[in-house]
Amino acid sequence: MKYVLSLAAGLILGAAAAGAMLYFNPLTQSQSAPLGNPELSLEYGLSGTDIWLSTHDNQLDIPVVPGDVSLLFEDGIRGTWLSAYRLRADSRPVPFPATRISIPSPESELLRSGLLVEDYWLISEPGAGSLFVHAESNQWPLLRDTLVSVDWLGRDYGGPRKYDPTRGPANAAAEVFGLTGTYEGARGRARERLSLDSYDGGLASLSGQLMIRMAVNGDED
Amino acid sequence: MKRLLQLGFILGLAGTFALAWFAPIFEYTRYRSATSVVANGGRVEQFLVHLPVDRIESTAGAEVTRDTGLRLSHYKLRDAEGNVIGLAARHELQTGDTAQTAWLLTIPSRGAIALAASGPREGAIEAEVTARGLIAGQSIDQPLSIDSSQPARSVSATGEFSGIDFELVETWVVTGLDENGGVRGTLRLNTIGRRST
Repeated sequence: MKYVLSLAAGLILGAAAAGAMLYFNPLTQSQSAPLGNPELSLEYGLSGTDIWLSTHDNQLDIPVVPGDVSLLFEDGIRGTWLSAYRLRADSRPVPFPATRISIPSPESELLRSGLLVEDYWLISEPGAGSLFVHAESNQWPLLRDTLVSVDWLGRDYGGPRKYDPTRGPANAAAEVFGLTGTYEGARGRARERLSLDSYDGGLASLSGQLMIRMAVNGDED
Repeated sequence: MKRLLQLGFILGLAGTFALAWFAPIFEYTRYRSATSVVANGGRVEQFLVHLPVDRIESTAGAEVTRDTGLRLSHYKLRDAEGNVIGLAARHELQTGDTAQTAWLLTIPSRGAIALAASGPREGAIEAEVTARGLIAGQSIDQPLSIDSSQPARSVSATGEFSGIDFELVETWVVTGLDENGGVRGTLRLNTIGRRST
């Protein structure tokens, strides 16, 4: 019996040590620098009037807007998040309507890459045209500080924090493609910055900033 | 006993790392792709949107349309057998006399396609249907079939769609209008994909 207990104690200690290493694993904490001199800086919040549509399979800490919207419970789309915004741009008087479809990536793992999410944005400027943005984001640092640290380990969230989750697909930046109107044929790069003021079991206080820079003379980085 | 403790520690450590590395965190049901090959090359695949059940909407969307002039639509996307396989977004805006339409088709198990079309300004599909004499709340036995005037062409594609040029034609098969004037029927998204040259 004492041999079994000894082995079990070793297993528990080993698993706990590995869990701690994964929690503090620097490889999954990838943070990109904010994009310098963006031509467009589009801001949004997960509460208020910025977000006018948000739906998923009801397993996320993200508000469903409106409350009676169709949920994404089917097997083929379970885990995805569809949201629509009025993105605020300082340089433009009218907000940019945008759709975002976020799909957790099957390539996610917690040893090297983190919790990867494929983000697809369709952004339109009234009277001008539409842009498509494809970003690969690592949301593990945000999830670690909220779900794991606060919800599971019972720790305090602490003060406001910022996250720079964009890690690809192009040199730690998202790819931007002009689709229609004045943006047709344009190419560029984008990065996202998230700010979370507080966390009490939901991400309603999360706000984001999508910084977009179009290519100039082939210099896209 | 000390050796067993050490062995357990190593097994616990290695097992947790193996779990973090190999355990699938996210997996999506992959349905069989119903594609067919066309005579001049390329593959044809049809996606379906059943209306109104697959429309994902919010009353605030009407306010956005009123404030910005954009028509934004979001749908669940089905394969030809009726399985929900993805999500689609459609943005339509007007620049002068031209209608600009952007499509985003995403299928979690396969990838995404962004497409764009521009063409002569036309009325919204609801307006076209109304012009053909259909009124809110009415159903018809012989469905109306309305094609988009301009096919959309892909600008970017990811996953298994990358490296393929797509063309998309919208066909609205209208069986009636609901009480609010929304279309009832099926939106068929017919795509032709050809390897990029």
